[in-house]
Amino acid sequence: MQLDPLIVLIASGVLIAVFVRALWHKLSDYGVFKALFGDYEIIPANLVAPLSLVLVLAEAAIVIGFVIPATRQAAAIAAMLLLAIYGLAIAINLKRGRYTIDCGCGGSGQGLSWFLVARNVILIVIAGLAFASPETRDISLADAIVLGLSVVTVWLLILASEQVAANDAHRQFIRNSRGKG
Amino acid sequence: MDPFTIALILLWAVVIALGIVVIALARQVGILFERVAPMGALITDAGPKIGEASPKFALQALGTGKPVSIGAASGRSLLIFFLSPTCPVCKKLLPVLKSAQKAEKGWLDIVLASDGEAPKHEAFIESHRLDGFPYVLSGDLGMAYRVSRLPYGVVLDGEGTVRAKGLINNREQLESLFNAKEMGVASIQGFLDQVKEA
Repeated sequence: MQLDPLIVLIASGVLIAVFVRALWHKLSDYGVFKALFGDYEIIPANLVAPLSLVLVLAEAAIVIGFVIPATRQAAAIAAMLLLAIYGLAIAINLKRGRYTIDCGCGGSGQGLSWFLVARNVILIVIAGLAFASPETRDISLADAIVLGLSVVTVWLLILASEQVAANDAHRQFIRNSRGKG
Repeated sequence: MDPFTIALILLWAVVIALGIVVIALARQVGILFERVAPMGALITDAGPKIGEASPKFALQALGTGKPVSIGAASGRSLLIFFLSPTCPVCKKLLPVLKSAQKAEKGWLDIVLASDGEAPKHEAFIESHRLDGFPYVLSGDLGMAYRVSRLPYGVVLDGEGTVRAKGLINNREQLESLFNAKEMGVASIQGFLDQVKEA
């Protein structure tokens, strides 16, 4: 599949932004991340610590992979896989009737919602775009400006979507608490 | 610059401005949810109910040994803040607590509560400069209030009646505990009932 190079670049930029943010969340509170990962109850408890490290390394590798043109397509495949796994983990817990994930270390936990699953599906499609081969045409300054503006806009959308997902989980929580208390 | 380019530049500016507005709106909705039905009050409704008298405890503050009385009619309101030295969210809230202590000192006393062995708590008080607060260790106090998740706050009024309680993750949730106490018993029961009808 061949696409306009600007589209491939923007798609790569979007995924770099998404994974940089995800990596930042994990690294800034690594203990909390491990506890949350465990609470998803998808993998056996003794594998949580090593797999947490694997996830951090995988996300870092994906970011670097997208930055280097030669490894872009590999990074896109890895991103699609990781996004699918995350989406599946969230969907499984939603089906179990769980709407928050608890680190057991303070705070009311991470909210889950179908909005997050939908967001991952969209990101997988974007990763598909990043996988495509760019047509040959010259990249100009105008392209660079559009690339920069697009990534900024997507960053804003990522921040907004996180808040929307949290609101959605809170709303779900309220609905499920009806009749109690 | 041709009109098409100008139009494009304007469009990008508008798109980014809209992105910022959407973030602000989503944040406002989140805060509204928190005000109307705080997560903390929804998660934990066990233990002494709003409007009931608090169980009474006569404890000793760590370090100073001064008596700390919970549940007695002291004429001043009391915030019992349950925390632990290993709870990252609790630590993030310590500056908020310190500023609340100053801001609300006209009507409110604040007590920090935890349980376990004294040494690690003494080290915690030292490292986080908590000597301005009475700090009590009492497993029974935590159990009386069915504290299972941290940070957890309970607000008692001057007669020792429970007026507000719940999980506290941020400044807004702490303030909503104070609001609930000010507005009276009806408000917490009221919003829980409204939530049931919603």
